[in-house]
Amino acid sequence: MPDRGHVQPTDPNDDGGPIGIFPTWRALYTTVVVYALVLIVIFYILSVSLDFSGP
Amino acid sequence: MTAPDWLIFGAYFALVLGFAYYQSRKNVGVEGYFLANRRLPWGAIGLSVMATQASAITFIGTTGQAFDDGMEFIQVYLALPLAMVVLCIFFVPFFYRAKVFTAYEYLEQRFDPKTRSLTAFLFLVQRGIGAGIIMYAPAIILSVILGWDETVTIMIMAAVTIAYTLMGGITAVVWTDVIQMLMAFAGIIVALIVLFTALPTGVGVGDVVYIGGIQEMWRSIDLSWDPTNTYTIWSGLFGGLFLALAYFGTDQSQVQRYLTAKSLTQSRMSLIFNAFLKVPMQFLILSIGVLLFVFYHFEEPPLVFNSAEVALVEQSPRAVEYDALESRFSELHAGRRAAAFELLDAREAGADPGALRDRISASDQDLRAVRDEAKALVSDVRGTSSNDVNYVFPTYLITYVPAGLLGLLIAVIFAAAMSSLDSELTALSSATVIDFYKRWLNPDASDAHYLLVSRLATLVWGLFAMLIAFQAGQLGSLIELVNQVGSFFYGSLLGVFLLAFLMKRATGTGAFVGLILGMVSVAAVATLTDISWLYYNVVGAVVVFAVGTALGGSRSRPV
Repeated sequence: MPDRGHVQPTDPNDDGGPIGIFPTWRALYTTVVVYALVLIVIFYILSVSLDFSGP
Repeated sequence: MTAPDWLIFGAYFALVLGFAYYQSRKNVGVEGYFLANRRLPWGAIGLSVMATQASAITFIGTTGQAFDDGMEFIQVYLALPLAMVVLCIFFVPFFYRAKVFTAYEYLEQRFDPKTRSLTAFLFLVQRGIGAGIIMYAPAIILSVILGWDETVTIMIMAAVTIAYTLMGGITAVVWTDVIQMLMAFAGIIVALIVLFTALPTGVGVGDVVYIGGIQEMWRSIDLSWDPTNTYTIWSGLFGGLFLALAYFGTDQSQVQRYLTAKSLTQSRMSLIFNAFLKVPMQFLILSIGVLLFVFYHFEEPPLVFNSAEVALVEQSPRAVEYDALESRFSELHAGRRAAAFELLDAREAGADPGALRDRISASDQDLRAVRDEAKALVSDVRGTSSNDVNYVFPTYLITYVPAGLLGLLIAVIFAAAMSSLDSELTALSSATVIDFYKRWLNPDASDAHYLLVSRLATLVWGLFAMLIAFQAGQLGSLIELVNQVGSFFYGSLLGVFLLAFLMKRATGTGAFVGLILGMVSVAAVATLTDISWLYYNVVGAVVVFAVGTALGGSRSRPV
């Protein structure tokens, strides 16, 4: 059985150029990761600031 | 339901069938039936990915869970955006460029036929029964709440879904999912608005937030390290990441969606779309549950929401006990309601609400204790335990939502069930035809023949799912067993795909043995420890990867 599929395929037509407002895929992925971290921080702040269970 | 409700409900089914028929004319051959000739836009695929994941239980069960425990369930989804990035980088390019019809077909290209067949078989068993549960779970709840016959509810759901899936294949499925998902968004917004407007005059957003906060209902992040605690930030980040990778990266019902894209970029965009939208959507759905919790401070809720179970207890010799609990519950609720109003007055006057807050908090604890006692009583009478939280939201809908809107919200629950079921049917059909029929039984038939067999497979799986749904009430322990096996298999399957993508020297035998040992390891961990089920996927994936690497080689692939 040929050992296919283990090398990351490349296709310049698919990955070149900007993706919407993002200049590269790397920029888009970084934005998603930052977004996930911001969500965690927001939910943590909500958890702390909206806890009125008492002193 | 009133005439306007029926009108909206009927209009929904007419719209879905009409739209599916219109879209289905664009399909050509078996590639059209399973992959829409790889020409769908990312926005439609993205919504279909969301619709496939969000079943009726997402709307019914999640709101009920938030009513009971608050927002902590959100933690399961916090790693989902990260999973989408990993999938876009490591998974989607391999699937897309291999030009496969199913995720498992790729495993034969990479490893061997036995690994492909075993993974496809596990998928068929798990998802075949899962498709029945997708219909059964909302049907039983809607039957209790609306008084409809359970069989009729299942048959309506199955008949319409089978009809449009059979007619238009994946194209019809994706485009009807778009309608169904947009309806779901509308339904969530409508439910939130209706809940806010149903609050007593003078109760504002700040009051709702404050009352919810007294019972820590807004607590979304739990930093504790206890691995037996199901929902913590760590189980969400690690277990949730592996769960999302396994579900979106190896389950044919999801992989098939992004294989329909016009290009690799469009495939990736559909997942990135989910990365941004999924968590806010879950937040809104959970917020409905917390709002219900606050709403029932001012309106008395039923002691037990499942009216069929209440009727059963009231006809039993233990009816007196239940009545006593109900009286106690009413008395406690009246006290909490009065305290809630006093608290709002005190807040408005700028007074210290401390004592009133403690009174409400104490009443909440007492009310929960009485409810737990009632649930235990119901379980005793029934002989089995039941999940009352699933009845919280539907009970609210039928009791408080105005005519017209009720039809819309019930249609949303049907839409959620059908948009998951249709994806399962196309996925089951594709795995049956591509991974078994074409691979092993009849490899050289014409395209027209495979299209006919594919439609037949859709019909057979639809009927099988309906049969499971009819029998689901009697299959309790079997279904539980299948679900357990499913959770054992998900992480292990992820391990096989990680081996395929990341380890150059991994072999089919290593992956096959690793898959079996991975499932055995998860079964052992589940039996011998109390760790959160969210970690099962981590265990399965790590064991398969380690075994596959050890048996096959150790050099990681060059990128």
